[in-house]
Amino acid sequence: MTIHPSLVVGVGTSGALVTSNIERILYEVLGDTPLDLLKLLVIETDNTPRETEVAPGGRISQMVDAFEPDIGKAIQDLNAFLKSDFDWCPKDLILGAGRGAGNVRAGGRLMFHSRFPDIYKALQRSMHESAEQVTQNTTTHSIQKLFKSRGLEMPVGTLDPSRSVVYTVGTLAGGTCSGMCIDMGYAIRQIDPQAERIGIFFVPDPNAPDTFRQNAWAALSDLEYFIDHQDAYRGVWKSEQRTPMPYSRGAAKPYDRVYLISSLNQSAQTRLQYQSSMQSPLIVMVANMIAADLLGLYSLRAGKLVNLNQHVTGPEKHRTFLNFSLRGISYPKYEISEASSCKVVADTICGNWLSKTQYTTKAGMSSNILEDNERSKGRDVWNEKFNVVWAGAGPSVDLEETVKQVREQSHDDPGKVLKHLFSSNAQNTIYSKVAQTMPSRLDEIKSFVEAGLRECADHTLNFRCMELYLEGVLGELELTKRYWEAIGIPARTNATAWTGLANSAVDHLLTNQKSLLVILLGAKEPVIHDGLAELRTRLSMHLMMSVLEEAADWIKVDRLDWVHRMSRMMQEVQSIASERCGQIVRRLREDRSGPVLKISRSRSESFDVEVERLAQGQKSAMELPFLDIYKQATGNDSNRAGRIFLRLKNEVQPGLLDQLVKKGYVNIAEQLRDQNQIEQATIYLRHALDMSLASHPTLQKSHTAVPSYVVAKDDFTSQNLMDTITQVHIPGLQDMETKSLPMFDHMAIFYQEGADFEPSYLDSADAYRKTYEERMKARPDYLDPLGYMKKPAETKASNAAS
Amino acid sequence: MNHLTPMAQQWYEPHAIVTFQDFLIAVAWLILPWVLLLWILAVVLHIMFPNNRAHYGAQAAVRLSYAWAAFWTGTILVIDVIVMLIFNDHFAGWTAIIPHTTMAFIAIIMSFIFWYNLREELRSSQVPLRKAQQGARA
Repeated sequence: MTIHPSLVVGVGTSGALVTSNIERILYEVLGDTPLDLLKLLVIETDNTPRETEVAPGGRISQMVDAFEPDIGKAIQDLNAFLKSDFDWCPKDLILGAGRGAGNVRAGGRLMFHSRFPDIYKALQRSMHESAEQVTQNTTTHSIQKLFKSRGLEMPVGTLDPSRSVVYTVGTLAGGTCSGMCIDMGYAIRQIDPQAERIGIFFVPDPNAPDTFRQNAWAALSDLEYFIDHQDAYRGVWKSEQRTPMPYSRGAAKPYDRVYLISSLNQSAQTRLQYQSSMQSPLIVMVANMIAADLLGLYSLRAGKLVNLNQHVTGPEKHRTFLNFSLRGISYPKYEISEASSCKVVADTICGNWLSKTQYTTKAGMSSNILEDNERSKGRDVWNEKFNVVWAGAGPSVDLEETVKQVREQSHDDPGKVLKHLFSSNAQNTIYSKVAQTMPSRLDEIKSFVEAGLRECADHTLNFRCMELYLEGVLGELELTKRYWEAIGIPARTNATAWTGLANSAVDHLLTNQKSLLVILLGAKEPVIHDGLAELRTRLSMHLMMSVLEEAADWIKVDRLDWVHRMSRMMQEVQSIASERCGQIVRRLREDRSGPVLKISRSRSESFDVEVERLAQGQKSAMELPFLDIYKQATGNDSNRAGRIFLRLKNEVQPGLLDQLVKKGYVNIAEQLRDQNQIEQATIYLRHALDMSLASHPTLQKSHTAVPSYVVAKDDFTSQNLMDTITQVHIPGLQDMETKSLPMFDHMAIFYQEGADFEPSYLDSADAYRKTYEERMKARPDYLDPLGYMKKPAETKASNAAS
Repeated sequence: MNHLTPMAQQWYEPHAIVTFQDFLIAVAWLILPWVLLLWILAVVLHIMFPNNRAHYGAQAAVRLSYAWAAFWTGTILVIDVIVMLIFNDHFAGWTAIIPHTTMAFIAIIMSFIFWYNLREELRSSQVPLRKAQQGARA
């Protein structure tokens, strides 16, 4: 078993879904250990958001947006650079509204050419990085670590830098992959002529819409033509320097191997459904095959296929067009950990944040929510911190100079001067000085309320407590405001009332300071000072009244609303998580439509039980910085909950997956027997042998000619599995080889390839050809953008022969 | 005889009061030291208790000083009467202490008025807070 530097290029939506699945599988198998020699690249013309989920390990695939929004400009641009080499493109090309290549092959090819510099650069970089990584010590250490974690020593020669493997995967039904696949194969060869190029393409069903079948047949015809005429390809692309860049690596097939995959088996029965979704069984099967290939299956297969010409004679295409079918049996630790993490998110994280009766701290301590206690925390914060805010307002304005002037009677009419100082907003008056301190008061209030709210959130991890804290602050703020109103402080907007109040206070002060009692005690200065200070305090209250109103509005409209929004969002996250948990458990228990048979750890420990047990005692999940996660998950509310859920789930899942790994390996053969699943396993095996393409004549499937394997983590397990299954009589069961794949240890695989095929062997080839020819009569330039490379006589002869 | 001798005599050996005129003369001799005493005590108390200003404000501290000064002035007059009663040989009959008791009474009343006004002021300043709190509960 060897691992090669490899690149998977997902073309179009189906390709993107396959790469997302590969990411997930690689995470399940490799965990957090990065293997940078395995690269994933997505080339997509339709990048509208869809439900592809990032595995907890994060996204490792790189995305190239190949969408060309302005087709007219792209045509004009390419025409200027490529001149006659661009004549293939219909100048009146219309792709319709929306993103993507519009199910037009010429559109897919046009976008490939238009975005070629980006695509080529991404391919080049990924392939070079992958090839470089294979010689790096870090890669060797990573693989050693992976072997060690499986209790094995890394065999010498596990890493094979001699040849890179590049997979191109997509569907031939749409416009993107069917329009790009030929050029893609040659572009890869242009970068590295030694690289093994493997094309894996989905073929639409015979009952698919005409456009899909027309595209598929056109792409198959092109693949066939360029396999038959290896010197025919004359593609010219636009280089990064905006000069024509012709293909220059000599005669070759577009791909060394082309795997055609459909949802039908060899008897034209529907087996694995194809849908444009992550869970689509056919997409999951292909992703599992590629993931297994990346982790060693390739070297096993290549060793077998190298001698294919001894078993499959005839034209080259019979050894190039292949088919495979894969079924697996696995203890689904990823799904179990996923379901369990969903349960933790729903019950522990969301449950605690949303609880109305108790809160749980990060340390896992639970306490009842006593509403008055929680409100008093808000009140205490206000009373403690507002003093500081207050001290920065009126009290910060110095009165000494004014006191001195009044005492020394520097002015003829001190009353007039004082009234001016306290009621005019002119420069250097006490009024203006106090007013200047006001804008920063609101910021300071917001700052301490916010800090208290964060502290409350950090401590209680509960929305109800946050709400009560804000209610406490708001209550105390309103009390302050009411008190000020009660002592006759007019609102900020009522300047006349304030002037009246200031005037009467000044008059009163001036009368008091002249009192005999005051003079006899020598208390004139303190009386003036205190009188002015009191007036300054009232002035601060008058001016701060509006600040308090704004602060109250901010708490009600902004902060409380924020808490309510988060709470609603959390409810949504909870419902997503609960629903997802239920879905996964149901799928594990009941769903047999996928390519993998899932078995639980033991008969007594069913999926439900294990999910439940794993989720219990995960109080450490409360340590997750939910507020930061909420802040980072931007976007509209409809998909925000989904993103928050995903982030929380991905934070929780690795730990749970780790716990499952630590629980030990599940002996699949033994569990099949124990859980009475042998019959079911034989069905899966039979389905693997039934291939995934309806063809006539049937494919060459002999284990001596093509890979036909039962693969498990070691030879003993694969043999044991084979022995277990063959206890049941399977009519017509062919011989299969048992193989070990230590790196792909989470699953046992039944893998069958079929060779000796060409497109005309497709069961419904006539129907595909007929609809293709009808369309060709109308718009050959739309359907056959590579037609100009084909010799007309040969094309005609080829079609006639078909 | 010194001009101020009757004033001093009024403190330690007051004459018996027979007529209203005697009473007015005796009060007149008593009122000057009474005022002096009140003022000195007020100044002393004002200086001795600076925290009153911090707690109640300068205006209230002034009033509080006068209240205490009036109280102690009255008390001093009462003590003087008691001392004269103890040393019976200076006691010229119950009528002799009428000016003392009158001035002591005035001092106590004055003290009470100062104190009462201050208390009312403090009480009324609590009303808005109570109202605000009642508003919160409502």
